[in-house]
Amino acid sequence: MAPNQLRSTSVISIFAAATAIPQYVGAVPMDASVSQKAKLEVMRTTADATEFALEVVKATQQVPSELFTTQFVIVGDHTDVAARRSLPVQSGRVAPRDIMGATADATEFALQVVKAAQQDPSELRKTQFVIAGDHTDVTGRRLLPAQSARATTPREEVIGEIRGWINLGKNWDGEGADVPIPSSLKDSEYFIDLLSVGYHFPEPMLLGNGRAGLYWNEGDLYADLEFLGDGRVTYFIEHKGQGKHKGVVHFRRGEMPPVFAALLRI
Amino acid sequence: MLFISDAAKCRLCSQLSSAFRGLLWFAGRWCCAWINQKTNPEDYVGRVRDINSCAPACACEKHRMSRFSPGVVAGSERLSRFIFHPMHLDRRGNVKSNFFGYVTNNGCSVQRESLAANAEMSMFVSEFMNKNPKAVWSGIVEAICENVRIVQADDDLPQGTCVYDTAYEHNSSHAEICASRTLQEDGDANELRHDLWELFGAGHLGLPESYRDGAVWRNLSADLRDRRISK
Repeated sequence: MAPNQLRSTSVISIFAAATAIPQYVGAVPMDASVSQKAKLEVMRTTADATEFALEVVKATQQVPSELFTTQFVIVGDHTDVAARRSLPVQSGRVAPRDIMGATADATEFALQVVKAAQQDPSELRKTQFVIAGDHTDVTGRRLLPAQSARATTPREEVIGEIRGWINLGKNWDGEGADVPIPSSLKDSEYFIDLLSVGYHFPEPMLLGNGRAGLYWNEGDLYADLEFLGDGRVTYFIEHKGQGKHKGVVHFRRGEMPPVFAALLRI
Repeated sequence: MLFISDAAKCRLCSQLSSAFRGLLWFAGRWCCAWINQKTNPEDYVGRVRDINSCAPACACEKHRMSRFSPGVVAGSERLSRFIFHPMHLDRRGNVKSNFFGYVTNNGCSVQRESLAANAEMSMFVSEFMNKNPKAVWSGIVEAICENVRIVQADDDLPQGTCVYDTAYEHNSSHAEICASRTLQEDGDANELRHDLWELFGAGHLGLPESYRDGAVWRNLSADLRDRRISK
């Protein structure tokens, strides 16, 4: 079926309202088995949109033809409920990913899957979409129940722990700690995303100044990273018997600073 | 942060600091007590920075900072730090370096082992846990004061940390470890945390049940002893 035909049977739309909290309006096809729960549904949060996207994707994986009756449109840029992250419109082909540490990532991926599959239905059959374990959304206010039985990965554990800190208030440790700094927590998550599977995942740590850090004490490696929240990371790394290194580097999402690749042997 | 009216006193103290060890010891004592009292409120931001600004180079180690203190902290004293929050423990139950993070901003609280009787320690633990319903006493780490004082976060510094006697009315053995200068954000703070972590047992902690042969633990109420870590 051609994409044009798909559009002509468009029944699901998601629109971003120009409000602080975006509203998502979705409608399911009249004859669809994707979701029986609503013919016209208002989704107020990213989590709702995620859930709906998951239903769509799950149904279409079971019955690929389901997608043919569905058009999934994203208009404009969407921010999540905490307005802390934007989900830009994605286009192009789907890049298969095995693990999504964040619900926001899952949303983004679901959207990519659906969009790509609309353009090329065979794309869907190349894609594995797995949500495992219980994920909290970015604000930690809602749980998405497990969709399949898979053990939580070390990466998910670390990211989940960091996410939980956003709910901590001042003096969370009883010693006068500052409120966690969201930008610092985010940077530490992005860093975790760059660690390859099989690598010794660090211990996340929250400092009294509200900044996130990562800590390794494995074998001959000791490392202490602190995310300043402005795109910089300070570090102290020691390989016993091989000297120690410290400094500060700039860190951007998706790019592992070469100094860490070398010193942490990632 | 010090108010403008306090800044003049701070400058005076800073100028007097070179004489703190000499004949003007009384001026030093006045300054140190004033600095401690001024920067001690729970919501004060930048305590370590302002102590270093008013009394650089650990000048207040030579003077009583609190009227509740029996005296300055001697080099031979054993210092203990109590672990109350699961955030400070790793998956194996060892202490992480963030446990010493306060050394660069608010001061890192420790207890002077030679001063506090078991009853005072029990009271300190009980008060902390009663004030913080989620606190769980997981154990303690210890180090000798003179070893703490020779920690260097920067090779150019003769002394990277200071140990002050910052006693409270109901906790006369309370002391604090503070960085000896305001550190630049270039990894010095990370190194200082590491050095203290290593000095205080490299992550290994003493269990409450064995600390002082369990005397402090036994003095706690049953509900405090029964608290468990929930991450």
